[in-house]
Amino acid sequence: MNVEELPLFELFTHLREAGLPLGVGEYQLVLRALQAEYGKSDRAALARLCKTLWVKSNEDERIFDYHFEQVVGPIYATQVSSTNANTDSERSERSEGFNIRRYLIFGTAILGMGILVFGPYWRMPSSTVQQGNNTNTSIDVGDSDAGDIPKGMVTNAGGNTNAEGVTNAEESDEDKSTQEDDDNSKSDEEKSRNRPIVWSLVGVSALTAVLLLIRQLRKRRDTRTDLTKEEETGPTLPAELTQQMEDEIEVVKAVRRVFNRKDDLTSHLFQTTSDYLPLSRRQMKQSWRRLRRLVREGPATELDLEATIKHIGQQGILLKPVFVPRRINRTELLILVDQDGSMVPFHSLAHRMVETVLQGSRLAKAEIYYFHNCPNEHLYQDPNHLIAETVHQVLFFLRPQYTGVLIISDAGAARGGFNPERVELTAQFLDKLKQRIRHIVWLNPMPQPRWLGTTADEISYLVPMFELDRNGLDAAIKVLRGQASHH
Amino acid sequence: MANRLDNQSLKYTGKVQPKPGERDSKTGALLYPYLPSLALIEAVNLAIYLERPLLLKGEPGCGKTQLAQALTYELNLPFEAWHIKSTSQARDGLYTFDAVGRLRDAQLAAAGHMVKNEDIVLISNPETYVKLGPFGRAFLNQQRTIVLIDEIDKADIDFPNDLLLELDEKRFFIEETGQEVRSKTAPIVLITSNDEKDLPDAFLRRCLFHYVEFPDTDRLRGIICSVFPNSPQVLVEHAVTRFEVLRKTMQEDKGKAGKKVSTSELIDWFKILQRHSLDETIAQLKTKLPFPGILLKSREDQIRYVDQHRER
Repeated sequence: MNVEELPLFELFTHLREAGLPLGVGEYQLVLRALQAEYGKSDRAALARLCKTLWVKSNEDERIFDYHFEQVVGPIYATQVSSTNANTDSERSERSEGFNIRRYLIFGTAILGMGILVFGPYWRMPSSTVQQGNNTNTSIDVGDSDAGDIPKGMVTNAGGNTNAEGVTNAEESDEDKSTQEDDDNSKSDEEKSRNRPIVWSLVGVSALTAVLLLIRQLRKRRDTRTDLTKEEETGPTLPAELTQQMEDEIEVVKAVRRVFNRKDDLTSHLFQTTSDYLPLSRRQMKQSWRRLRRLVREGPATELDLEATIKHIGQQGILLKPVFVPRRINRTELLILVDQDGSMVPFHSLAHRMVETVLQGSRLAKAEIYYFHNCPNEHLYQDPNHLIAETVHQVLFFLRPQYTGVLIISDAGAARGGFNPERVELTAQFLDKLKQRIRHIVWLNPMPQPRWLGTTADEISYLVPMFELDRNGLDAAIKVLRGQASHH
Repeated sequence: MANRLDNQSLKYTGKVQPKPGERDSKTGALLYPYLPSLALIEAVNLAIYLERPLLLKGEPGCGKTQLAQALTYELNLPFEAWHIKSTSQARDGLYTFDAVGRLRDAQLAAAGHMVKNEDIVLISNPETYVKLGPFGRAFLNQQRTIVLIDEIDKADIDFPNDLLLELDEKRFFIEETGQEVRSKTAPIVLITSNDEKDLPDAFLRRCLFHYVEFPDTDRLRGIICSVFPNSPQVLVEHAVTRFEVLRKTMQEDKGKAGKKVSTSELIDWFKILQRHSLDETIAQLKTKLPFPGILLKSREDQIRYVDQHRER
């Protein structure tokens, strides 16, 4: 197993893009370790080596497993099947022949469609055109697998009533040819009336034909690859992972795995981005950590040397050193999350915000409450709106000089309507809050251009409202710290 | 150059275990065998070779702290332990400067109580009052020292960031005296974390990471047999089976969130089990959970897992 052949750099760049905290030094470390004969014995040892050096948490481990399978997995698969070298070459030959066949079928399909589109323009020799089609089908008869598909298309060109031309492909050729002969005897007037119907039927059948072709080819290729990859099943995402919106591996990637890498036709249809939500966990945690107000509070344990010396200077003698309390972060945050209704698509985003605040920030206290559409009398401690507390109770236990309030809600921008009642209720609630707390900020998961003309627009004049992305969150944190001016 | 040769010769195999009844030379405490998994041995050897700190995470009681002691025993190197508290500062691990002591001595000298000349020289030299912490001592040691930073997530968030320069370049600066302390040999740093708070990225980047998994059945049996070598095999089998059943039930009920029974609790439990008569204990193990207070630490757990078993 040669070190130079391993696509370690590719794996490294994939992981970096996925958000793992890696630098060039870490890559060099892996190289050093490989030179010292670590991780060379087999694939599992290499995976363990890279994990120890590059993976720093359990979430990152899942990302690493996925990318490792993508990048390094195929190489080990081909190396493992060294005994099946003959069958591999056979398969490659067959695949080449297969590709040629596929292009041939595709070409004839396009040719057939082209002729059908331009056929009616050459109305005079209409019968000869259909005879030309018949000769085309005779060439394709040689293709055993997909020969029925162009035949099906050609039969529909005759303007038959049955649109499922492909399913009829199993029928014998003689029936089709007799039906075409009958069509030739149809009057021209009928043909002109049926023409738009004919074209729509042709279009639909052509599309179905192409899709069935693709599916058939893929089925063949999957059966082939299943034979090669009997032991590499790849890391299957656990069921919880796909239900919760986990960082960086999102549903599109899981769908992408269904299509084989070599299938060029379909891999261009899907775009893969590295994250589904606009903010990654790491970015959120970094923003939360900026929310700190260090105040000296608590028991006096730290020695204040300058004050002690000044004290000695005043007293003339060292009686007692001067102690000050340590600086601790006194910021408290009250997060109000809009739940259900128009916020259902943003549940995962709000959930991620709440999770990172509780675990990754270093706030003195973070309280989470839920409401629906607009908060009025009651706030709920759980997302299902079961445990209620009045707003007065919630505000009572906060320390006003250190607390900030963050509201996560679309404020009507998701559905796009303007509701004056909602504006009124929200204004009343905000007034109640402003009596106790100075810094209130609103985060809207909808993008800013969508706010215009909705309730959100009105509310944005009452309270600083930002979009829920990296810049918006940073601006919101600035407001909560009291550093930004009211817009 | 000498460092590279040292690195190549230092390898942790996990096979050198203390004999039963052996005591630690410094503290006099009993030494127990430590059986690490293969992945952990690999990670430790990587950390030794690459001269990077190793961050260990895992459930409480899975043996993260004990690894350092086992490593010290096998490699026979000096050992420095630094147990972090919530009030710990990064500087305390490097050195502490006894400013109050210096003030006091200066006062006494000024008042005329200290008359010896050499004392006055000592007082005027700030280096007298510099006391090196675990890292400081490790840097100055001729041999590679094993430094354990225990429960780093208890400290403030700035704490790991303050240690970055020292971990990277292996030197630190004493401000009060203007000295720079450079390490002659790279210490082997083991860091444990309970994962209560997240650690900053810049710190994580410099560390190697290993998650200490809960051992499987064979390793559990091996651990019990090596810690209690004279106990009957039958008892070990029954105890481990009962323990695993309990752990599996707890895993299903609690998932990742709650506290599950751990290896250290199993060892404590077995210590009590083997004191009683064999047949009685085995009978008890089959029907109910004997001595639940050692394994289950909350009223909820006891109600659920002891009484539930009794109903069956």
